[in-house]
Amino acid sequence: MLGTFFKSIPYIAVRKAIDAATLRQKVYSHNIANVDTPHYKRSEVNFEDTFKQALERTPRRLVGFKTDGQHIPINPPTDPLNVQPGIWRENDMFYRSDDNNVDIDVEMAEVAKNELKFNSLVESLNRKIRRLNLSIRGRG
Amino acid sequence: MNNISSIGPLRPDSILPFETDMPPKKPETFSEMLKGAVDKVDAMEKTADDMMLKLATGEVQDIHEVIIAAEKAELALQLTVEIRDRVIEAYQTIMRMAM
Amino acid sequence: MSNVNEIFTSIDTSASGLTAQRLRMDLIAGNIANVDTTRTPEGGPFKRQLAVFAAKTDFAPRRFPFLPMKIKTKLGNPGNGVRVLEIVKDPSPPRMKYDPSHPDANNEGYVAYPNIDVIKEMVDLISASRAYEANVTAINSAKSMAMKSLEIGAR
Repeated sequence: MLGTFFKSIPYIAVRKAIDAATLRQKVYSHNIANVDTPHYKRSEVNFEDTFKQALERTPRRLVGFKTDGQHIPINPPTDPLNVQPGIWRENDMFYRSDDNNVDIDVEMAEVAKNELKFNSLVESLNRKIRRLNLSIRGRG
Repeated sequence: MNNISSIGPLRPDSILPFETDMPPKKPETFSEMLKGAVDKVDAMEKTADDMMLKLATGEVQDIHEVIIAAEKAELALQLTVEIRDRVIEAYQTIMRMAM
Repeated sequence: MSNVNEIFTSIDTSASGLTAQRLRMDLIAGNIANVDTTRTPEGGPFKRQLAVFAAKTDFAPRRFPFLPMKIKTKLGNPGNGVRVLEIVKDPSPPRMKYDPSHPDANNEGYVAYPNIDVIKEMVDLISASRAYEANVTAINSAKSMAMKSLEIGAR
């Protein structure tokens, strides 16, 4: 019973979300370090949307229907287990004169948000593990 | 002094006037009560898990909702675990009594 | 996938930002201090100095001049911060002031003063200072997250 939690969707989701938040911290640090680098373009991490889509098994574009095992799949729904956080570079049109598109205030806000998200996820996971512990140990 | 009569036994189904019209409730057996409690705990646990999932997918933005759900589940679990432990302890006490 | 060292490399990344901005502030301080230096060992007035930054990445940076709006391109690795490529001297011409009595005046009586605008340097200084603080904030955030993750499973 207890082992199945670590294979369940909520655990996988929280685990991957924590991974995504860790990666985000790295990406924002890189953006902030390069706030004055000419021609630098900011990057960001995408995870939640892709994962949610995979959970609902509804891809955004048209899905092909295979009638034969040898058909090449067109946009098959993604398995939630395979969703990884992805890093995307934003080639935005807003440039300063040095061709850099990092807005330092936006980055700082994102860093704060990310930290909160990470702490919330860890706290939430922690409480779940505590409850599992409680049902094992009981009062003693 | 002569008009004071002794207090009769309190009947649960007659505390409020209109309740005397209702048929008395069948008392719950202990096992039914326990099962009900366990079901409630299970439901709260599922809610807490669901909130955690929604936090991870970004559906829920308010962390306090997640924490409150977790806290409710933990309290309910704690209560049930405590009852379980005491029932077992009571059973063991009884079994230890020399007859 | 996630790497055990990811929180630490994030701090290294921010540290590189701190170093770069500090260097920039040092150069600005030097520029401001030398705003009236008309004589240097290599001849001529002091020339404004600036640092050239470049992103530290595993891959070679590619420029996409033809890309329209908010197109996002997928990356494998975010990169490891910033480095200072070189310190260059501003090639723009010096300020000329008419002062024949000055020992460094040329044949026409003009003195070449450094091409430094103190106002601009101050603005740069504020910008560098803010960027420095932002890197500090990023480090604090990384630290807080690492400390928090130590709490997993703690009673």
